[in-house]
Amino acid sequence: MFGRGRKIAPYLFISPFFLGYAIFFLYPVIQSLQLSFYRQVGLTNPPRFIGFDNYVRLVTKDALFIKALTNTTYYALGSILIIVPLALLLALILHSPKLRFREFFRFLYFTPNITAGVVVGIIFGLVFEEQYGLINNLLLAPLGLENVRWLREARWIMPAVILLGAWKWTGINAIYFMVGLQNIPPELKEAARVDGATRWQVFWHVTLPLLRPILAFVLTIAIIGSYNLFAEPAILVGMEGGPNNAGMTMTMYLYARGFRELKMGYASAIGYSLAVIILVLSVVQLFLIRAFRED
Amino acid sequence: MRKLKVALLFLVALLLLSAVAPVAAQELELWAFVNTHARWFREQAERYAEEINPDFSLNVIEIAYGDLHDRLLISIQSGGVGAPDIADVEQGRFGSFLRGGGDPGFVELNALLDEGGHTENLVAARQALYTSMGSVYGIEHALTPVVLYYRADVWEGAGFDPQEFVTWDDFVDAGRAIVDQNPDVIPLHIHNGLHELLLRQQGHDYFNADGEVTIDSEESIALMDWLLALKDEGVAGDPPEGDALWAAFKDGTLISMVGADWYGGFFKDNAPELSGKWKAAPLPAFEEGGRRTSVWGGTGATVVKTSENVEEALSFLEFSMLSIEGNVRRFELTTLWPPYIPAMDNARLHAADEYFSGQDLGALFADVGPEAPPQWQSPFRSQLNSLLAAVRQDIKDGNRSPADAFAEIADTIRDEMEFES
Amino acid sequence: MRLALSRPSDADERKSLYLKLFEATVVYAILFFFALLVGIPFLYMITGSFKTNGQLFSWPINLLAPEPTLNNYERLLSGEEIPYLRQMINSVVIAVSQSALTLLFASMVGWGFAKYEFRGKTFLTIFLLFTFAIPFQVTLVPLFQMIVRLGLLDNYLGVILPSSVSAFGAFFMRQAMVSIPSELLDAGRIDGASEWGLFWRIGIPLSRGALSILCVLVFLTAWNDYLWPLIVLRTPEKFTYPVGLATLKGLYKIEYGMILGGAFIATLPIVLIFVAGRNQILDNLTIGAVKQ
Repeated sequence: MFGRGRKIAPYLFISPFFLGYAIFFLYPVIQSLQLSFYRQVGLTNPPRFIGFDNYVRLVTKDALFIKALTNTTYYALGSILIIVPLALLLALILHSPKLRFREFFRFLYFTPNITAGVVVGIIFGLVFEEQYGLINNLLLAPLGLENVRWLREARWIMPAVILLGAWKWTGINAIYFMVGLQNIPPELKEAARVDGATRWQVFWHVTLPLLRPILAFVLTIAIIGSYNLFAEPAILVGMEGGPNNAGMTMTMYLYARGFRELKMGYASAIGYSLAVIILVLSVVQLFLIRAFRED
Repeated sequence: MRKLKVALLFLVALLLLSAVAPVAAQELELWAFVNTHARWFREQAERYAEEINPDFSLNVIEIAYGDLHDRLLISIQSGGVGAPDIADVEQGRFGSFLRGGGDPGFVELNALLDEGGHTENLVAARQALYTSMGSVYGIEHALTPVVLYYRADVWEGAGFDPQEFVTWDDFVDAGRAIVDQNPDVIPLHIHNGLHELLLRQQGHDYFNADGEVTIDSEESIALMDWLLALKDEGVAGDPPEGDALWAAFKDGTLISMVGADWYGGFFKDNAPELSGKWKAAPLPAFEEGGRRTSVWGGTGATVVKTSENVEEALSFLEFSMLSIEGNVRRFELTTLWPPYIPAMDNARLHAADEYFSGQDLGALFADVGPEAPPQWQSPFRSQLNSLLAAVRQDIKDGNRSPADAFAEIADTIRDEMEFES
Repeated sequence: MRLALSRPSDADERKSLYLKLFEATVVYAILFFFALLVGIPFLYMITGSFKTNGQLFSWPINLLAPEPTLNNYERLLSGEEIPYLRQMINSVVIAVSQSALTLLFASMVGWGFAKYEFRGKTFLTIFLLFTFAIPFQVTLVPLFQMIVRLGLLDNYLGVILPSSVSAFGAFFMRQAMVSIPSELLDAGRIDGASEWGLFWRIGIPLSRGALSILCVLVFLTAWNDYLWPLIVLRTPEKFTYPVGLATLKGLYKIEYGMILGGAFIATLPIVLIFVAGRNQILDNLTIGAVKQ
């Protein structure tokens, strides 16, 4: 099919991919940058060049953009603080060689991760329902606590989304940590034990430092995942993010401006701002991990 | 590897097949977001097929409120991809179709309305909601007069007759007495539209006649403060919306509803077991001799420009929405009070309504209808509504003062107006 | 908990036995507690799909369905509110085509990078790595405009094509194919095989493992995706199942039983795939993800 020319064969092999990549990724990336300097409302109206106005407006005037940014950061921090320790705990337990039913637990904890975001959003609508929901009736009521208005009070919405996130992502992160634990040579721990270290000391001085690459990976995935968060809150509290837009994430905000109001230029500027934020966070994180290493 | 090839081929075939799946021939599509409207449209389509065009068939699709308007906007903008022929557009969202250019993508109805002699037959204040620069794009379904629906058994049982309330003070006094006896009851439900419609009852609105935003007016803030004070007292409350709201009606927590004509149909649909327990009265006035009604909501039927069946669609709308029979039948099915003047004195609008304790609801709507206040359209209304939706709960919970929240919304809208001008 | 380090006496041994029993209890208690936390929402989804709205919204909450009804499934499958079956088929068509295309493109480009030297290779690799860091949200608006202009709005191809060029897939396949011994290819060339023949008869079969992992990853992403299908697909007959189910959530009267039933049916095939090949897939998935 490709003849026998070894010279052109590689180009033929890579061209379908790069053709698609140019059309469906590179061109939009460039086009988006250009569009972000224009005002265009609607698909057919002519765009008008406005320089940096969209960006200036985003940062100085658009309270909702700042709110979406704050919400998303809140989600990222909150979910990381819950997910990382829990996932680490589960991984340590599941890693223990004598454990029975390990495969069963591992599989069960992983299941939320393969469930569609829309489905998760629907299920958790019933979990957080104010009067007839699972959390209020099965967890809070037996403890004698009052019903929490999870989805109606602005301050409870993000905690609800964070709990949803923890439910969905803890299992897979535990499995990541297990992979990391498997890569730690058992001799290292034994040597430490022989030297008289307590279990806690072994964990703190041997296991944890060696898990750093996995930790970096988990954090990166969590940051990117947070800024991609869309389906779950959109279904749980609606496209506007519910009361006080407390559940509005960055991607939801981009969707609202771009695909509900058709503000094409403005949405492009939101997209680029998002890209910058993710890049900056990734770089900051890389530096932090390097700093730890020199430590 | 051959298996793989066969599977791939099969896939491609399947893909192509489904991509060019045939569209049902000669069927008009209509989008509605309320089931009462959908039901009426379906019935009208059958009648139209019987009486006018036997080949006519109408596919009425029910889509969630937000989805309908979002999808319609993109369909229209993209040259009609997936667009219906006819669409119900809620007046609060109509403005969003006007933004960014001017042509909303609906068929201009001036010719139909003028030549058919319908313009004088429609209530001008309602039609104004779907008019931009002299072009009319929609026909209103309902006059939307607001009345006080109340649980007759509860109020009368406590010794009060809401028909005799003259002012809101009368209502509040009676509400207090009822709450004293039974603290679980909520006499006034602060629903999402209450502030807006009461503001209109006072002759104000979120936008004024010149299109300026006025949600932060003194009157608007004072009204919200008054509602919050009632909530503190226990006379007003805000149970959760959705299924839980209907549960609150059914278990007797909510004993009244300040709602428009269309809310009557909602009751019948969602709480059939309360039949015979409800009645309706004119709204109490803010001062003696004041206006006894307001307007709330409203939806216009539009014809989408990209439709291939514009003539047929217009003819169907004329048959259903601009006829006495269509308007009367709509009231019978949905309690929407016709905005079509020739239908207003029809005897069938005055049948005893079993659900409302045998009351003649039509007489009530006819009585308060002429007092209905004006309502001003703005391209920025749908944005104002979503800003308001975001802070509503915080205001009700006392976390934000109405003055502060309304000022912020108004400033955002003013800024947006400036940005787009 | 300081473990006995010096020579254990009998008492110490007994003590550590108790300690172990205690530890095991704690461990299993924690594991079961988390299993409940994970499992109960699923259980509630399944039993809820056999309940009426009235049963769901009533006290006391019941995790089981004592009076099960099939009404929800009947209405769902009869297409009363949404063409559910059609939407499931759409999801299958889109997810399968997207997986097939992604696999084809990714394995071809991976093969080109792994087994050939050519001008511009280093540049393209670095370039790809660099653009890898740009989030997809940047492309949404122009991509949408492009889809509109190409007339691919409300068309499966509009969903499938942009998603089937995966830079991750390209790297993933390159890594997998680079270890295929070049001697095999040279032997094939001597036997007169074409370059395409080498790819198809040696490259593909020898990287079946990687291909199956990539296939599962891509399929899963496509099957569960919401944002892009929501933007591209405009009519209920074209919707994928997540978009379709989401429309039910916004309707004035939320038919929870129906939605839960639809969610259950859509989750079932995925869970079954995973139960069937759980260990292998899970291990490989993790590796794939860690590499990602």
